[in-house]
Amino acid sequence: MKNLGETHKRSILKATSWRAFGMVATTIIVFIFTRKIALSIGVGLAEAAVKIILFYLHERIWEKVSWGRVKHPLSEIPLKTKLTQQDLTTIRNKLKELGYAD
Amino acid sequence: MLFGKNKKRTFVLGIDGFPYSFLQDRFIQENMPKLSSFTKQNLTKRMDSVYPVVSSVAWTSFATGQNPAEHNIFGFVDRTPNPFQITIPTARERRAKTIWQEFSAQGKKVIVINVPLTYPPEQVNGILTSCFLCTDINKSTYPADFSGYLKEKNYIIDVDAGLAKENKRKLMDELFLATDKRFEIALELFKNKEWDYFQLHIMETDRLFHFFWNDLEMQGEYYPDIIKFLAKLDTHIDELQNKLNDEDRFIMLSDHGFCGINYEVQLNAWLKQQGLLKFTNGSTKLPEYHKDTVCYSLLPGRIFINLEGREEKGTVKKSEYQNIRKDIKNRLLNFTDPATNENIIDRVFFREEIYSGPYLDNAADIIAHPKRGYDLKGRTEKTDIFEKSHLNGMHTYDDAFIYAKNCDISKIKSIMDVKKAILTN
Repeated sequence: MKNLGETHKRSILKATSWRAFGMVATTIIVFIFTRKIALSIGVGLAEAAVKIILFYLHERIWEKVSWGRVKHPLSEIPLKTKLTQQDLTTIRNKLKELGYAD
Repeated sequence: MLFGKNKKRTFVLGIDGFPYSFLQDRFIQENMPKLSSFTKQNLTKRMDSVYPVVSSVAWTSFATGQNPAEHNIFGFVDRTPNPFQITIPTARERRAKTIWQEFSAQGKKVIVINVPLTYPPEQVNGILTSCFLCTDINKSTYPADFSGYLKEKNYIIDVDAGLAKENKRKLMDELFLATDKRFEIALELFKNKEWDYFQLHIMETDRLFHFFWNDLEMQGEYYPDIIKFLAKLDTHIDELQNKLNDEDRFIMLSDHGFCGINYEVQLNAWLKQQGLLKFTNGSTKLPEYHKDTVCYSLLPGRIFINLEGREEKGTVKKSEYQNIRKDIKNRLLNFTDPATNENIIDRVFFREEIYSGPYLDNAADIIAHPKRGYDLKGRTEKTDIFEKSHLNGMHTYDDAFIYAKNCDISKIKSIMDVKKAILTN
């Protein structure tokens, strides 16, 4: 049965949005320390580019690990109650009353 | 939800055995105005059932979108050929994926109530309440603890069909009560639970027509009760429909039509008379048939050849198989009611003509479909071929109906086509 995990598109979108936040934070932090606007933006962009790739790869590796994941109830073979002989006799008698069994 | 709600839900209401032809009838138009108004909207059509015309086969064909040789359900009773044994197929024997399993696997929430051949209850992403085959309310649901809610509500799995012989008044009262309870439970779940696919099955119409058909046709003692029952059902349908959103799919359908019974026809008694079914030492139990038997029947109209190498006591050679089937087919087509000289059997099929799939070998070799009014049975102890019983209504093949809102049913010809229509539009 197909695992109900994330699509590649969703992982990429998440990585991008996270890095956008990260890039702004890095740019602000570098600017506070250096007071150089061009350097701050450069570091922010370089960091974002590298980490966006790393984050995507990291997500896809975790996607392959099933440990700790909550499984969909139907990812296993459905459980079925075993019928007793008494159950079957009752069913058969009922079917006879309904004209569905002889 | 962050980005708003965009869900198309599906509600399926099964009304067992409700004939399409009723919708055109003035009697129904007067007493079931809501249901009959749907026919005027051009959203309703006639459809075929499946062979044999039995609810367990028909509803499994609906749920799986497959023919019996693909889903492996051929009747309410079946047999294993070697060692010979009569068996009762349940949901355990179903071999194809149901529509509620498909929705569940997509992570969608389902609620399924009372659909034939859903016992024992299977695991779904939601709630499933078994059909009338369930013997004990404690074993009737998935999840198991949901049965506590049903007990609190005094839910009725099925009416006591034995009352048809002893106390028809009480049976009629139970039909009202069971239907009311089913709608009551359904409407509560509808309101209080999240669902994407909801299927509610009303079995009581089948029981009503089986046991009270003569009262309906001849305006007998229970005629006013039948009118009251159908009017009540119409009110329930109206209430349900009013709760659905405009974008929800709403599908109502039956699995076959109904007609009156002239006679129950004991096909095994006829096979005995034809010299095709034999018994040893006065026994009349099917598992004890004589090895010289050519064929035997399970209701309704399923005939199995006593084939060598397949059946426990098989003696018919494989080389004779086709000729014997042709011979039996000819005999069936010439089988007449001695009182009227009318043919009893309308159509006779070899199994490969109507089924295809991996379980074809489990099907009967010949499937006989009767003319209206002749209900095929299979008791082996009988010597009289024509009988009457407390049952006075029987199933018909070509008179099921389907109504659909927000779902294209233009391509549907039989109940087997409905699942695809739901899943693809």
